Amino acid sequence: MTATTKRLLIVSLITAALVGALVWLLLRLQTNAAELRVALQTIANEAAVEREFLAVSELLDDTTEQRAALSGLIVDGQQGSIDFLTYIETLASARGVTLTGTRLETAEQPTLKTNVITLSYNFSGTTTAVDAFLTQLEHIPYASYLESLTLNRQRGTAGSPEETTGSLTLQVVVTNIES
Amino acid sequence: MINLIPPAAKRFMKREYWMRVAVVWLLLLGGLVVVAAVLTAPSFVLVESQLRAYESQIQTAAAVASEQRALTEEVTRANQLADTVYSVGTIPKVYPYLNRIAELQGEAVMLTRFSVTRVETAVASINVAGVAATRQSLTNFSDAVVADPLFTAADVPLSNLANNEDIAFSISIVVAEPE
Repeated sequence: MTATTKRLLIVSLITAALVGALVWLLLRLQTNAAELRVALQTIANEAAVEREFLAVSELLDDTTEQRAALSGLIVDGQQGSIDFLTYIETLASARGVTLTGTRLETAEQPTLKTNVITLSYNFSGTTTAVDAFLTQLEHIPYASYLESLTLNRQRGTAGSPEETTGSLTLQVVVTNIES
Repeated sequence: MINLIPPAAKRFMKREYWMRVAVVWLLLLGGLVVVAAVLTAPSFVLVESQLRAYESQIQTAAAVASEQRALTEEVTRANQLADTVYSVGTIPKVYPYLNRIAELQGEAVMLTRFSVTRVETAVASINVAGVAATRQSLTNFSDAVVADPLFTAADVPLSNLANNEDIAFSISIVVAEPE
C-alpha cells in the first residue's frame, strides 16, 4: 500500500465519520424540534387549564356542604347498609311497630340506572302506629322509596285498637357495593 | 509528441491521478459536512437549551392537568349523585294515595286490605278490599274515588254486588298519571 492509498483511506474514514455525525445531529435536531413544538403547545394550553382548574376548585370549595349533604342521602358501602337497617328498625321500634326482615339484596335498578338495596319486611302494630311509621318511612333522609306495600286491617276487639299487619318492600340507593 | 513513458509507469501514474482526484473530492465533501455541521450546531444548541428550560413548566402543567382530572371526576360524581337523588325524589309516594282512599271510604264502607305494586317506579293501580254495608254505599265509594283527581277508575266487579248487605268487595283503583 502506497502512501497515497493510505492517505486516501484515512481521508475516506474521516469523511465517513463526519457524514455519520452530521446525520446524527440532524436526526437529533428533528426529534428535539418535535418535542419542543409539543412543549410549547402544552405551555400555551397551561393557562387555559389553570383557569379551568381554579374554577373547578372554587366550585368544589363552594359546594362542600351540599356535596356532603348529597352523599348523606345515599347508603355508602357495607357499614352504610348496616346503619340504614338499624335506622329503619329504630324508626319502627320508636313507633311501636314490629318489623321482621324477609329479604335483603342488592341489584341494579333499571329505571334509575343505579344500584339499590331491596329490603322486604313484614310488620304489625296498631293502625295509628303503622300509619305513622309508613308516613315517616316515605320521608326518611335517604334516597329511597316504597316499592310495594300490602296492608291488612283488623277491627280491634272491645277496648283494643284496630290492628294493621302487612308487608313492604323498600328500595334505597347504595354506592360502593357490588350488585 | 512521442510518449516515452513505459506502459507500467503509465498505468501507475493513471492510478495515482485518480486517487488524487478521489482524495480531493472526499476532502471537499468533508469540508461541506463540517460547514453544514457548524451551521446546524446553533439550532441544535438552541433547541436543546429551550427544551431544558421548559422542562419544569411542562412538569407543572402535567401535574395541574392530572389534579384537574381528579377534581373534574369529583364534580361528575356529585352531579351523578344529584341526578339520582332528584330521580328518586320525583318518584310518587304511596301513602298519600292510601290516605286519600281511606278518607273517601265513608261510614258504610270498611277497608280491610290495601295492596300497591309499582310498574317501574310509577304507582299504576291500587287493589283495595273491604266490606260495604250496602250496594249503594259501595257504589258511592266507587263514585267518590273516580271523582277524585288522584284516580281515574275504580270499577266494582259485578260479582261483588250479589249480596245487598255486608258486601265483601275487592276493587282495583287506577291511579291518574302525575302531571
